[in-house]
Amino acid sequence: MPSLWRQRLIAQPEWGVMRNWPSIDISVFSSYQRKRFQQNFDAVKRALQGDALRDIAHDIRIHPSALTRLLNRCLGGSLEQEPTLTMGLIPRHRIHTGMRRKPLSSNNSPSGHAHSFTYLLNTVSGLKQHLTKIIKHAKQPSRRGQNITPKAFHSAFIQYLRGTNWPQDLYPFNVSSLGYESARKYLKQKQIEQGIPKLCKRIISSTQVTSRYLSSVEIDAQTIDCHGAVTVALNEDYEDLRISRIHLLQARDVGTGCVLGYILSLTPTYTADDVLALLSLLVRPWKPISLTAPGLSYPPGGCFPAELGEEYRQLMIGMIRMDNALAHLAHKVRSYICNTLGASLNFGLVKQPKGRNTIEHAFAKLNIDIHRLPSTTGSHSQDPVKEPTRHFKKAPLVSLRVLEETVSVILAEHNIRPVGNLGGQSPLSQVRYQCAQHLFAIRPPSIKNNLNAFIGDRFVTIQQDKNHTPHIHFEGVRYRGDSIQQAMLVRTKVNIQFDRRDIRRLSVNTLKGESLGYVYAPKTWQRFPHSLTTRKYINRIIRKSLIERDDPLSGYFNYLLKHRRLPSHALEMVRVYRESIDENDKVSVLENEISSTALLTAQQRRNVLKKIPAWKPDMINRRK
Amino acid sequence: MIQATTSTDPFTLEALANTASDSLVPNQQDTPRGLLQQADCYLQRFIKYPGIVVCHSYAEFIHAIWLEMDVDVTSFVPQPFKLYVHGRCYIPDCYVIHKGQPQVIELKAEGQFNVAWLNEIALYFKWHDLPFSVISNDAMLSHETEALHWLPIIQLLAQANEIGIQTEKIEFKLLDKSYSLGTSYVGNLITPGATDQYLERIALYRLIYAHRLLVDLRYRPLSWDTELSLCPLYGDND
Repeated sequence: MPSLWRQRLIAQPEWGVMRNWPSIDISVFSSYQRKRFQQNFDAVKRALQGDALRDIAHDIRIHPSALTRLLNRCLGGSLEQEPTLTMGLIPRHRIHTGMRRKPLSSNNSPSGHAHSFTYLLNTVSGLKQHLTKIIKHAKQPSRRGQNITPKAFHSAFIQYLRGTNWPQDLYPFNVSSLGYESARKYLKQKQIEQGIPKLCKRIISSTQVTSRYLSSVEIDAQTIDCHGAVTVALNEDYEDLRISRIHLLQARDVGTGCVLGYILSLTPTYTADDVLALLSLLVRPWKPISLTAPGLSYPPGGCFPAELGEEYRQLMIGMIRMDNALAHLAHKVRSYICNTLGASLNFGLVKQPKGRNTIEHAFAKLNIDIHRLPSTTGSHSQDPVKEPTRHFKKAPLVSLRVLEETVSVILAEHNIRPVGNLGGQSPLSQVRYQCAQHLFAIRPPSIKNNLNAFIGDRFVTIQQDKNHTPHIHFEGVRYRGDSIQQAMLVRTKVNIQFDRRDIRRLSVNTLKGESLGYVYAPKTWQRFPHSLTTRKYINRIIRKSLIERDDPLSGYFNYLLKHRRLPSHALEMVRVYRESIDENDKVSVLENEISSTALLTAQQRRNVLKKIPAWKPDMINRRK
Repeated sequence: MIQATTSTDPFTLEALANTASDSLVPNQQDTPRGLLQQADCYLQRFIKYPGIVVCHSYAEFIHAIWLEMDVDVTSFVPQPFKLYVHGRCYIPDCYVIHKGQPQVIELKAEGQFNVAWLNEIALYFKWHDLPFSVISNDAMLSHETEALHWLPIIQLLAQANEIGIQTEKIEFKLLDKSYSLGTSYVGNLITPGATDQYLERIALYRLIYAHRLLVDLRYRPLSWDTELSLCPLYGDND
């Protein structure tokens, strides 16, 4: 029940002093409004001070009832709601939304039609829900839906009223337009209301601002906005090929903004192995690329924190934040972060990248430099800086190697550039300072050798068919070896360990943990080192009968060579080539990880590998 | 903490039939990949639960750290049971052993819990002698700062326990040193750059975790100048 101004003052006496009323800027009003506002203000002030209303009304030459109306406008209304106060002093200012008090106009008793449409919505049963449903369905188009127009909406409104036998002499049937304009306005207002995005009520990130090094690390990937090229030596001839875009995976520390590491993935979509490779970089010394591009060099002191020393590699990471890409959700990634690194892992909410603004901003910053390259794709399809379509037939001048070197130098340079939000210090100097001053949790030294992220393991059964030696099935290939040539091992479960980057041999252990030795892939798969990813690609195209099963590796190289003009295949060719020549690193890791019961010593293995020449595409032709 | 109504009038007893479960043996329920993608999930290895804990919100993550900090809590299991309330699946957030007594906890934002359900679930747990309570997210997030300061300690100890590192002798040595110093600082007890600094840190963190050495981490994380004091009970015994 609305109360009068005196009741308000009894219940809430604080409003009896004008000083407590909110102030408003009257300079935005017209001169007429300002004059009337000031008059109202003075009148209400005198009334609150206790002057007789009759006297005040006489002084300002209005009727005493008008003054009472003004006071009720400012202080009246429900006691549970805030009074209008100063806003009520503004002349001709509409305070409450209007509503219809009279009955609807009819032919017998004609009256105005103000607020008749709203009246109908509130009184006719189900009308509001029906119209809301129509608007909602139009917002989320379905196969059976329609794109709503004001005319169609108005028709639905009239049809509904006719369906409820609404009297023909009442609004809207007694108006020539049948309430079309009201229906149109209502539709537009609701469409705008539904178009406004809802604010996220959930907490998408911590309210704590972290400044500690490694307390929070953000990881994400982005397709680099630039095409590259490779040169293939084919029959003593050189051919330039365009390659598809590569992915950059980056890890950044939130507290200092320091780049902790990066990986360039050459696969069509980056995989969990790429994420693991990035994570393993955080705990291994960084090897700078030998720069070949003229004019490109690492700035003095530019590196990543893992390069600073063993004590920097020992520090434990607090929280690793990633988005919910499938590669991030992989079991091996989760297990490596939580079990091996001992960190917390957070997958943010869907479509809420601002929860990881450090890494998202990092990519935006990197793109400023990448967009300077002539073969850039720009940020979007209409970006004026993107490479013209007429250049697409030729390979870009920027080679893959140069692109990699550029990214490496940009990221290393970022770490030593002084920034304002660190008080003029560079991220790397901030890292050094914090490590010297603060107490950090450190990783146990005993697991230093178990940090290799590429070691995978599985439980398999040793099989034996008729007239065949015992073997292990692994990724579509039978692995054999002296270690499992025992009758007692047939049909038993064993645990195999493998390096995902080179799966030519597997280490076999019993379920009790005793090492049995190694098993090897057939000789057709032994010619070149190949990763689990490559094996899966090859198996996939064998199943499609695109290459022969007899010599899969050569068949795959030949297949790639045949389709080398497709950018994706040219990129895959580079990846496979690098995988096959990047042998020394893997050997050293294997020596560390797998027990010393290997058949060959490290030196013997290196000597054997030296005899195998590095793969080149023309090898296939020579073999033929 | 909001306590659920647990009256046992005939109406609520009738409602008991609406709730059922496969098993009430606490065991972390698998998080489907869809939920892992949609929710704000946190994964972490803790000390009082053997395995990786999957928390489905930030408040649950803070709550898990809070349970680790509480010496009265001996163990907990996240997402412990799968219940069916009116035919719909419901998984409570946590099963906690507090002072030797089990209890079930649900974390929810204010006003987001169906009160009718709440009473039915509470009744169901009461029937099985399990107190059930609902904690609001806001109440949990008010401890956010302190919980995040405890996180590095928990992470380090969880990994050390997993490997099986023993530090009893060093713990006694540190306690003895702390007792002789009276009020001591972290920098007095462990030496930066020492060869066995890892073991020293583990020992110190274990003493802090067991509340044998008391630290105030409400405002600042653990650092070299954090003040350590002996637990009063422990000091009296000495």
